[in-house]
Amino acid sequence: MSFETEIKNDIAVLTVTAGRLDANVAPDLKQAVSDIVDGGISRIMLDLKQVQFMDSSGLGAVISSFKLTGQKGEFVICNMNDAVQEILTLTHMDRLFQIYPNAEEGLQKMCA
Amino acid sequence: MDSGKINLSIDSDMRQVQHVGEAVRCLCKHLELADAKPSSVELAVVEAVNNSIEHAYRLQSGNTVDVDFEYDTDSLNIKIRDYGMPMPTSIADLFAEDVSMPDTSVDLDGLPVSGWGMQLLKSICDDVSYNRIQSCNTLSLSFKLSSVSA
Repeated sequence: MSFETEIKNDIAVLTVTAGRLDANVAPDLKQAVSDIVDGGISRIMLDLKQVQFMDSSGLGAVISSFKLTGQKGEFVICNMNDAVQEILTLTHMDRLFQIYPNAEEGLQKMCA
Repeated sequence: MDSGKINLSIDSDMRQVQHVGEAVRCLCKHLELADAKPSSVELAVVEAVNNSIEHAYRLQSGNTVDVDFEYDTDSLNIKIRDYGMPMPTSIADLFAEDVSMPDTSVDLDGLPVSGWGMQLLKSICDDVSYNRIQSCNTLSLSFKLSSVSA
């Protein structure tokens, strides 16, 4: 299993437990988010604290996940390391996503 | 750090890519290559190897991808070689164009979920080029290095 999901105040906290969010894991991320949305939850926090590396396949899966939650949903990211931050910065996706330094702060903002 | 050559070779299996990625990162850290951030070099090599497996070998394992490093005090040059299908012109042509990332202010539906790899390569590397000689595809990545601090 590359993911763990915990529901907190109608927010799904999806933690990637794999160290690499790459072409091998990306399809599973899209499926995990799809399952959450199909289950009626459209507010998702993606926790990347264990992810040391992300490639363009991983980035594509994150963008897909963001699109899956739709305009009415909410999709935020927390706990990115420098390498993951770099790929979002290079692609300007850091301008699109709500990004928090840790899960606690992210949940606090989402619940406010 | 003076100069040297290191060659790696993996099977065309996506599960093998992480091993070459980790090897690249360790190599860059060990060599203390000035200006070449290990995570960026790793990302560039992983994108190039992914491209070989996906496009040249159509995700079929049992083929070879070679990754050759050559470094000196001025530059790090990495060649990724495969022996499969030629790179699609639509992708190869990107190397001659300026990098342009999608506008994040556009409608969400218009945001691409794939095709970021080659744009990332161009953003990370100082130079990227592709050629095909006989049945060998070579993607060349170049990183300029400044003087290494003591």
